[in-house]
Amino acid sequence: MKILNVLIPLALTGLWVFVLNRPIVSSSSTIPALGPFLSPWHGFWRNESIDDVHFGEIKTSDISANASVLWDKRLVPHIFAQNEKDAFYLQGYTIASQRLWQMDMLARSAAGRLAEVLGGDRLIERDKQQRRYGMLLGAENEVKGWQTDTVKFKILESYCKGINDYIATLNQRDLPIEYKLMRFSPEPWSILKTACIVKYMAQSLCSRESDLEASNTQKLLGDSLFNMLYPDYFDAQSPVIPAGTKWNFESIKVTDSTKNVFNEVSELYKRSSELPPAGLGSNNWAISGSKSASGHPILCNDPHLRLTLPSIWIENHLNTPEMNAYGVSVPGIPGILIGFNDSIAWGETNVGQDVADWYKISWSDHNRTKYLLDGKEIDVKYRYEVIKVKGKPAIVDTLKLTCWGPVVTEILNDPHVGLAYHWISHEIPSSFEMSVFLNLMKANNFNDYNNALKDYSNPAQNFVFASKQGDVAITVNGKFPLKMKDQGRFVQDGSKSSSAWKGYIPSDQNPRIKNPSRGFVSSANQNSTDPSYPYYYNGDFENYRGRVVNSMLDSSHNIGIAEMKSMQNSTFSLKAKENLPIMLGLLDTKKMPDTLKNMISRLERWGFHFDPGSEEAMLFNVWYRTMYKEIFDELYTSKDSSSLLFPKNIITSELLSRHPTHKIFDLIATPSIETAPDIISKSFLETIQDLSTQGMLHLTWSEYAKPRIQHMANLPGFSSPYLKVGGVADALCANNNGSGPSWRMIVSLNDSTSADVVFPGGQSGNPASKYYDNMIDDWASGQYQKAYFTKLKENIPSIGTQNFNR
Amino acid sequence: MNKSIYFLGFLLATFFGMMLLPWYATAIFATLFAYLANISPGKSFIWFFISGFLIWFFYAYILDARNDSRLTERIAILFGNQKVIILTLITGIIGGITSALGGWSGSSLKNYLNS
Repeated sequence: MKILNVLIPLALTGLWVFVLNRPIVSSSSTIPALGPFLSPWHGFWRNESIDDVHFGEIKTSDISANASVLWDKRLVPHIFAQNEKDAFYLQGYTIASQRLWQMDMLARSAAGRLAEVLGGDRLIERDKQQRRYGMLLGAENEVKGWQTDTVKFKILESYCKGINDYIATLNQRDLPIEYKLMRFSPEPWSILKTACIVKYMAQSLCSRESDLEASNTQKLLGDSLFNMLYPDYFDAQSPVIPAGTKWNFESIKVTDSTKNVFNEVSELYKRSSELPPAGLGSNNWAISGSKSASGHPILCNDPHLRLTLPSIWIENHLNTPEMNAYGVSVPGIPGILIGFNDSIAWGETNVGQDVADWYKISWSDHNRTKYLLDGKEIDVKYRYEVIKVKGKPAIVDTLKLTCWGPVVTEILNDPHVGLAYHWISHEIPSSFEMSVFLNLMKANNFNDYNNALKDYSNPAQNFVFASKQGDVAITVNGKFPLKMKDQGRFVQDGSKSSSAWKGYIPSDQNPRIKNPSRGFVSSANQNSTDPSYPYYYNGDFENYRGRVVNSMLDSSHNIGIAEMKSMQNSTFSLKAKENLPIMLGLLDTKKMPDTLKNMISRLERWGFHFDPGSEEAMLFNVWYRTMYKEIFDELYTSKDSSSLLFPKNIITSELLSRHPTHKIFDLIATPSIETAPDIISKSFLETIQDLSTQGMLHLTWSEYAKPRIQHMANLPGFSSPYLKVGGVADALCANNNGSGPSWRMIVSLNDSTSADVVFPGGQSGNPASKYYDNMIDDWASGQYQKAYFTKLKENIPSIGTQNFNR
Repeated sequence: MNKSIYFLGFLLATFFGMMLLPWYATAIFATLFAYLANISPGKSFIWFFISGFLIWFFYAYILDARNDSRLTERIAILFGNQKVIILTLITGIIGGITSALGGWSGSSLKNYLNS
């Protein structure tokens, strides 16, 4: 029996180690194995002690000459290399050292490879959807296009090599904390992973369309009401290219006069996955010397994206004998996407033109293996998507490819119909698309800028430009389909080849303008042009910010950096200014108690600013939303409201002021006939009642909106606290439900370029680093940091140097 | 001979050995040093618990303090809004139990072989 005295403690020890070496998996979450995770030598404690950068010498045979990276006091890497290839190697290496987990996840999320490392039914479904939308297909095609440019492709290979050389320095215990929490390890980086991140950006920026919803809504409302509520262009709009600009080119005539049935809805189209969030947009503008106090151009850009930790942007400075460029890139994509060099500055905002269309497929057999095109049966092609799943066998999803694109949805009730998705981002690009950024980094003047923009496809961007020669310009740049009127607004008939896009608008006929007489160029996701542009386009356009930018710049002179900062941080809401006075004018106040009259008089005195401490902003916001829902109760009360298209906010002020007795104001649920004043008063009283019941009547705007910067994987504790920031979707400071100004940049093109920059996060993706969120407070309070932009190493306030030696 | 030399040996072996070995090397070191120390299994359990607790707790504490608890505060929230000190204590206890079980095993083995 004595042997038991030994076996029992040995068995207990073994059992203890076994149990603590296993993750605790429940249906809702997975807790990493406590033994390694809590061990100070292996687990998260170790991440507390990992240096932000390992300064000193690094030996590598992957560069052709010795190079160095100086890290400044905001942890921006300043890369000094002898040639471009080495510089991009170091960009890959340094970005991986800051953001490895983030770039890995972005690529996996785009390609539909999350279940492979995280498991779970929800992610399997998400992966399937990503594949069906052709994300991996598009990324593979992207790489095929890149291979056509062997010189640039070498740069990309060098960038990937840099990432992989960094990954090779890591052992298990030095992995970023998220890998330890989620229990997987980084795989080698590949060019395909970079292409996946390019597709991630494309999906966020140019995959929004409302073809299904528009088709459903047109059927529900009928043509005349639909056309009134959903015009292609609002007359109040202030387009990117100033209205009235003459088009000095011979345009291609779209001659196909086939009457195409755009919209034959048998049953409502349902979307199988959510659209990327609305409200992603951006501002950019450049003022010429005639407008600025210094007499030199100033260029400003603030892209609005989903605000996350780690931030989507990372600052870089790349210096070679031929190039000296500073700005931000997206981890995983080489080059600088928004930035400046010694001669020029550039930036982008998104173009909302619709480049993703749906085609209704008519199956000719019950097995759905053939479809009809112009009366002929065509075989579908198959693509097998292998979705790996953590801890389980892989799943194979069969993708059916038609001449239009992959079949995303098969309508279950109707065995003859499917929906195929045609997206410009599926196509094989004709060139190395990222050349645009690599060439802008080296551009010296307007001609270089103009040449750099050629051959860029998507996501289409408004590329703003300013140079030290005094030029300012903007180009609506990308590959745009040639369409018939209304083509691509609705689901199209996929059984006719005449439903195809009619080709592409020649890139030199894309809307552009240089040095306009008004002294500035600008864009804020509004319509690219007025309706005189000879080509039809549709899309999702912003109707307020562009007008705000243009009227502010029109009325300003002697503009300095302080004015630019104040514009970027402006919380002024044009939507409030255009709606609230009409709403207050129509409000029946006769029977209201004094407390409510007091509120109304506060609203009357309000300056339409969505400042964090404003109670009026909160009240207007809720009242407007309540009113909107009651005006468009026809849509909200429909059982399929989630599959409908809702009118743009800009329509409400027009309806209230010009058509107060329109039938749209009548509530379906009541026997009486309501008009605008009835809706205004009813929605106001309901707003007060709802807010009072919930104890929210005196909340300020930021207490109500609760803005914060969320961790990419929404890990509690890894996000920022709630912030006291203002702004709203239609203000220049467009904080809206988790998206907002993700990078603010103001570049003054004086004799020596100077730039003020900030983003809501920090350079490091490591939550243990003080550089993880160090700029959030500055960003929230409208402060900026100086970019240390110089050719001279000694002028950079560095905290350390990495020397890369052969 | 003073037995505390074995505990010192255990602490040093754990501190440096764990830089290279997996986390459960703590238990292996405790088994080894308890075997050498030649003490009763009961005492061994208690003393290796204390030693294991101390080295895990204080190493975690130092790493945490050197970086102003930046990450630990986030992890503490992730683990159900805990406090940093609770997380440090749990770490110490896990180190303690792992070592104690190892120590108990080592002493028992020695007893068995001696008898």
